[in-house]
Amino acid sequence: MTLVGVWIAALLTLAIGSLLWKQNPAFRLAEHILIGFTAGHLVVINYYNVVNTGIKPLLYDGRLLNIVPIIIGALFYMRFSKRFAWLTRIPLSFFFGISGAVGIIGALDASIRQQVAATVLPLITSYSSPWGSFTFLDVNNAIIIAGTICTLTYFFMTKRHTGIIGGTARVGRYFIMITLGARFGAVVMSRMSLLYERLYFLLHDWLHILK
Amino acid sequence: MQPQHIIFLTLGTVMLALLIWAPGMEYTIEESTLSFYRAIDELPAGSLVLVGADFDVENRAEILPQMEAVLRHLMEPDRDLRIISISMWDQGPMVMDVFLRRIGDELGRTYGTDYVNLGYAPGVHTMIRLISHDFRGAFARDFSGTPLDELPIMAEAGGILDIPMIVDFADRESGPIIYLEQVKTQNPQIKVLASINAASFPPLEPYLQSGQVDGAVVGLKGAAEYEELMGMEGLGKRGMDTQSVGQVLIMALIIAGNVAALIIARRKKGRVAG
Repeated sequence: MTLVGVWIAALLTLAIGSLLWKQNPAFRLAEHILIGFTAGHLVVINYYNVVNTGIKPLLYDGRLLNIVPIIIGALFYMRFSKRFAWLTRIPLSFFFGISGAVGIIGALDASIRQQVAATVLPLITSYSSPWGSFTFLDVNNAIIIAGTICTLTYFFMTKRHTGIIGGTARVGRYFIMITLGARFGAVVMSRMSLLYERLYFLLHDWLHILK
Repeated sequence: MQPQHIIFLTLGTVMLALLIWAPGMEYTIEESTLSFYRAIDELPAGSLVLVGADFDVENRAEILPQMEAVLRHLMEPDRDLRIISISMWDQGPMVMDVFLRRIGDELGRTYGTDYVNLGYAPGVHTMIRLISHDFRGAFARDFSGTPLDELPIMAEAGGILDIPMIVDFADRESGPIIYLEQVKTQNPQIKVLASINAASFPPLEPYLQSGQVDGAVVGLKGAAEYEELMGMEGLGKRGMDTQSVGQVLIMALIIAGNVAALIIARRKKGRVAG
């Protein structure tokens, strides 16, 4: 990064960090720059994407079929016309239909069949040693099986949660709470890394205190 | 000064002190990181590897140290692996381009022959399905605008199904999961490795446990572990002190906050009873 780049990044980091004290104009300015940059970047990337994969092959490589997705995609802009706004339903239906179908066929195998198969686990494990063979309950597998069944029961909405179903659902709720705790812990870990990286940048790249 | 200011100040001061002091705390290498490392080690020389750049720059703190270590492993000249990088989201390719070219130059790898960055294409699931048999289904040019036909590496690369390994740098679990759903279901021989930020890892863990994901480098700690395996110094190792102590501090604050809440609740209850 150039010297000017480092200074801009450092000042924007401090401006964003100043929110920890209170709302202020420096934070709002940095926030707006970030939003503007992100939106601008997305526009440029998508512009070149349409030009490179759609329009240029159509005009220079003779890929005439490209005209079909270009026209369907262009129909999205009909939303700016009250008279022709209904035409946006055509690309939307393509979008939902195709992405939904492609997503589902992949998910059925990888995220449902194989994940269900991964819960078919032996509850009893044998261990051989010089002193003989031992058989005991595999606690990890038992937790995976119990956790899956109880959590699924918690989301079973068409039956009142009383009796055995109620008890199982309650255990399922505890599993969900533990999962959320684990997720929160992981988020804290990520945020600590972000803080570390910014502090390192300020001390190393900007102030040259760290070697 | 508000209580939250005291928390921020304490956290900042402790982390700053640890960055300067750098005591070098010890840590162990997770099995998932070892599996990741071994999978790359065991890949035959000359193989193609698909590298996903499925992250936004906001998560650079964890992803970039991971990228530095893993890409160095992938680009070692003796290994002779060839890299094709693509992205399902728009911000990753520009960072990937800088890293690939810098490490490629350092290790004597040639752009277009040994590695290429095809950049971003929209469509997520659909895009990945579209390049199953031919990358040209979604990419006409590389990230710099060079037509694919002018890049020697693309002459031998058919589609994603012909590539034996996918390494996905992701800041959302959906990145590696999409590769599992759209690619590995079609060709179970393909290895999928995830290099992911810590916050996105819990939903991916069932896929690692089931063996669908063949290895994972997780968060800054994963980067530190990989640096250790590679015998290099980097931001991952250096960040372990601040990461560990920062987390202990957060845990202490959670416990202190809960104890305080309990005491206040009891006092209120006592007042009502009194």
